[in-house]
Amino acid sequence: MEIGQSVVFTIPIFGGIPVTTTVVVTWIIMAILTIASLIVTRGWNQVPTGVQNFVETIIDALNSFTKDALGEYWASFAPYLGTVALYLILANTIDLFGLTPPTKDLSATSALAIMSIIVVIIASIKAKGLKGYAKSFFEPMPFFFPMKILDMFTRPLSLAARLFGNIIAAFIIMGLISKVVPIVVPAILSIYFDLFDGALQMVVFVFLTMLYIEEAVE
Amino acid sequence: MSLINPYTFIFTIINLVVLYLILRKFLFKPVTQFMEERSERIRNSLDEADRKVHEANELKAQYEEILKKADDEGKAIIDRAEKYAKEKAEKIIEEANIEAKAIIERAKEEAETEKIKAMHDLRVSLSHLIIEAASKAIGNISIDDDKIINEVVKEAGASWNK
Repeated sequence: MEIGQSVVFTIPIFGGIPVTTTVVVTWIIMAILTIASLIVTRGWNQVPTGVQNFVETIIDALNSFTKDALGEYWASFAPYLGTVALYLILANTIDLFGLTPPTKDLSATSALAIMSIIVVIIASIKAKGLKGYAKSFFEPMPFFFPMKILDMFTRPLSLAARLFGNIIAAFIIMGLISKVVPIVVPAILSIYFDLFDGALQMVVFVFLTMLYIEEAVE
Repeated sequence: MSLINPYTFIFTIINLVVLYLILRKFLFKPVTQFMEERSERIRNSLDEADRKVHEANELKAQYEEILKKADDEGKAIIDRAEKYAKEKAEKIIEEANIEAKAIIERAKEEAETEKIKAMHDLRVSLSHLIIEAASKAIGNISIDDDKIINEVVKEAGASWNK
């Protein structure tokens, strides 16, 4: 069992760019999501049936969720939050299919966290303008400035570390249990560690990102 | 082994952006648009239905009014016809009465004339008879003079008429 990411292959430019399993699995997830979204949006009817119902329910839930939190800005951020949610739910649970979860790599989770913070900053600028965004560091009073600056670092750090820690912990525990009791028990425990924890971490990550955006556009 | 691989970090960001663009184009936008269009259509349908119901109610009220008017008009026409018929009937009866009275009057007059004529005839016959009888009684004097007869009759008639 390996904690670090193994390099699958190296792109022979710029002195060799290593492509890790994280990236490869992300590509697989991207392929799955792209093909799936092409398939599920095919042949839609005005009266939804089957898969269409399911997809509509999920996207409607996402839309109304973001609408409630972000108000008029929901349309700009719902697709991003949905993308992160779909990516994370697959990334966190892909261990079930024997692939290494990309989210057990701190490089990937920190990338996700940085992206979240960038989106939050974009939201803030979009809502208040550049000046308003700069001003927001001194609100409600100038005394808060250091804490706001600290926020800029603690938020992505906590997002990245939480996701990474949870997934790698589940991964390690599942790996250990598989070594000790190779049959039946890992299957049962993986319901908690892979499915439940994976889904929960997805919800936590998306929810926190949305909360930050909500705070930024207020 | 460093904890963060900068290449993986950059790859993940690029992947995420690409995935975001793909999913937005193929999943979130079309689905959201589809649902919004459907909502819009349903809303329009409902509005249309509301409007139709409103229209129908208005038409109903209008028709009811027209019916009521027609009813009133019909009643008025019937009333007028009845009145007219009554008047006409009364007039006819009155005319008939007048005519009947006139007929009776005329009949009376005629009867009177007839009576007078009959009287006259009777007088003439009587005069003849009397003269005949008188001439028989006196002897066979025949009075064939019409002048005398007429005179006698006239005298007799004058006293009769009194």
